[in-house]
Amino acid sequence: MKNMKKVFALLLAATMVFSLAACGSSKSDSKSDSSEKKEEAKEDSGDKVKIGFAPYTLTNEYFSAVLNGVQEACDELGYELVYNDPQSDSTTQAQQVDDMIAQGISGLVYIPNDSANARSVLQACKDAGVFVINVDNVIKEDDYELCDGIIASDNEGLGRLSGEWVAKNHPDGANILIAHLQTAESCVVNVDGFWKGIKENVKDDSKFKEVQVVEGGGATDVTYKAVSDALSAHPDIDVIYCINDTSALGAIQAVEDAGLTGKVDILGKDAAPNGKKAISEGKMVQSSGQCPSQMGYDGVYEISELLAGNKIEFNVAIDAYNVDKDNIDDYDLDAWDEITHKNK
Amino acid sequence: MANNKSIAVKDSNAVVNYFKKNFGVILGLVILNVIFAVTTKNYFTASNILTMLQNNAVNAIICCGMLMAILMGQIDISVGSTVGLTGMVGAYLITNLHCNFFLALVISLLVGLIIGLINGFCIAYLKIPAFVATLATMSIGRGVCKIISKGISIRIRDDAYNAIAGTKIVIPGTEALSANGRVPLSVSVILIYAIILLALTWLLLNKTKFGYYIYAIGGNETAAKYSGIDTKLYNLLPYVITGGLCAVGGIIWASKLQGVQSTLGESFEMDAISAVVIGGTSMSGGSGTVGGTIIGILIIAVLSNGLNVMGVNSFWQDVFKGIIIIVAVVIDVLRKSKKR
Repeated sequence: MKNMKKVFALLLAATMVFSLAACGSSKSDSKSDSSEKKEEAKEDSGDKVKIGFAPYTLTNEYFSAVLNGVQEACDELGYELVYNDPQSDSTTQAQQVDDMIAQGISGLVYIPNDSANARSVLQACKDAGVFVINVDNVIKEDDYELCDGIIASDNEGLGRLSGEWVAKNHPDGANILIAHLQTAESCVVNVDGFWKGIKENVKDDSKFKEVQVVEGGGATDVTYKAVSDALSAHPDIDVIYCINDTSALGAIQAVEDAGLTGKVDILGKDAAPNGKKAISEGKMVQSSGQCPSQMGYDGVYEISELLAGNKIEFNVAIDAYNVDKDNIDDYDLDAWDEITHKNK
Repeated sequence: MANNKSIAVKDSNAVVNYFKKNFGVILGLVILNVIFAVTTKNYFTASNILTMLQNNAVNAIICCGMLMAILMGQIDISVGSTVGLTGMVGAYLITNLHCNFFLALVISLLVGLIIGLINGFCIAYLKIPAFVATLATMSIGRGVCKIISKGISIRIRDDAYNAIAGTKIVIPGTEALSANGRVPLSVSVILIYAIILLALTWLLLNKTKFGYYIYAIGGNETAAKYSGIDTKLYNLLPYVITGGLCAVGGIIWASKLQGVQSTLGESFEMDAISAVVIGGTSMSGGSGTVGGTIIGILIIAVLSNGLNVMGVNSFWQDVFKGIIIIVAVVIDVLRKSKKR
């Protein structure tokens, strides 16, 4: 018995140590990308201008799309791109930005992992004379002074478009399930916008009931389980609003399993390739589109303006657009957004 | 529940023993069910119970492997990552390489077995502690999964592949029992896979030399070695089996969701370890049963489904799961110390 206790205590201690180690072990390799167009390099020394990109994570297609935009702009301008994958960890991200500064970046396209903890990163860049364009996840207002420009999606507007769709297509009211990602501020703003979109467009908003909020983690499998449980609890659900298309795919499957296909309207967000395909197959009804590639692309061009000594508009909001079965044919199902405003 | 009983149904003594042995956890399961049935309107319905069992079937399959690892006094924390990687490999082969469905299955399964082989080799032959070895393969597996997928999710549009887990056995005439009264109840084929694999695991652990050796190694490795058991080989094999089981889990989720996201399987190891431990398996090895583990799986299932149906915020679910683990282990320890 005594022996067993010892073993158990040891195991427990080991678990703690290793889970700590696991937290700290998410180092990732630094990747450098260079392009051929040397003649466009702007530095006097002849070296290429280096641009850093600090994403939220790269294991998410949305942020991969931002990266594509950043890469395209860097190729066009002849900049060298340096980026890392912080794997959703703000401490790792801060270290990686320090590394990038040490590598001599002139500007940083920055998506903070935790907007509340962005100050130290911004300060480090300011001290090193690195221009920072904050994209997507916006920093706190009292940190604005440390930043050179902000480009973000209109998160409230994205939700509002989906809310308007519900108001238009369910004029007599609806029982609504939200598949949330409650830890992300942008999703909270987004869901608020969704309700505003409904309330501003109907006469009697009391008929629109939030029957439940489930945590889908923004992931297909988690959302699938949570939504199928919620459908058991509330067989009268009419509308499921998911905070991204990836989680909407899980909701689609859960609804299909419950034999409710066609009776429940599923709305996603992002107008991601998977979401657009689901709309074209009639499995999802609406998705509000963001422009991740455009955002990354514009971020790099803003840095190029700053490097040339020009002034830029400090706060740029990128409009959301509505994708549903009526206009799905206008979009490329395999791509995220297209970079529509080139070389401004 | 039905399948626990079937294990020992022929011998009434065995049934009595089973209930005696697992009294604490069975009582816990019953209490949880009563609480949810009384407080939550749509919990104790046939369709919800079926949904709950189906959603936890993959956990049951993983638990078959986790049980063997813990029986040997070791652990395998790479299971979730292996589920994600094998699912992703299958999706990539079918969607990006337009591979034959059968070949994709075989390769996915092989990937799972190879990860198991690496785990087993590192643990049994290189004597790396199981936690460290599987921590490493967990990291490698998740990394490769993200490399293959480039961080984006892959959809599967192959009817044969999607039928693997999408097939349902409809029970005619049960419309009245379903959640909305419109469609008849159906049993997902996933549930049948889980029951078959649990039964096979029971046979393996109770009716073969292999099982006998596992318990012997878990109870006292030195004694097992001196009695002539090839302890290294029998320490390696359970990990290979676990890898294969995880591949089955990965294929099921990929097929069920008709696509794979690179985060598939994250934290699956937590549910598997919890279920095995709640089921009365000793972390120091040597004692634990499939029957107990099934109760553990059901407790985890009831807890996550019940709290969802009740509408409790998912953040609280993690807290409750932790509390249940502590309570289960305390009951187990108290019962054991009483016996002595």
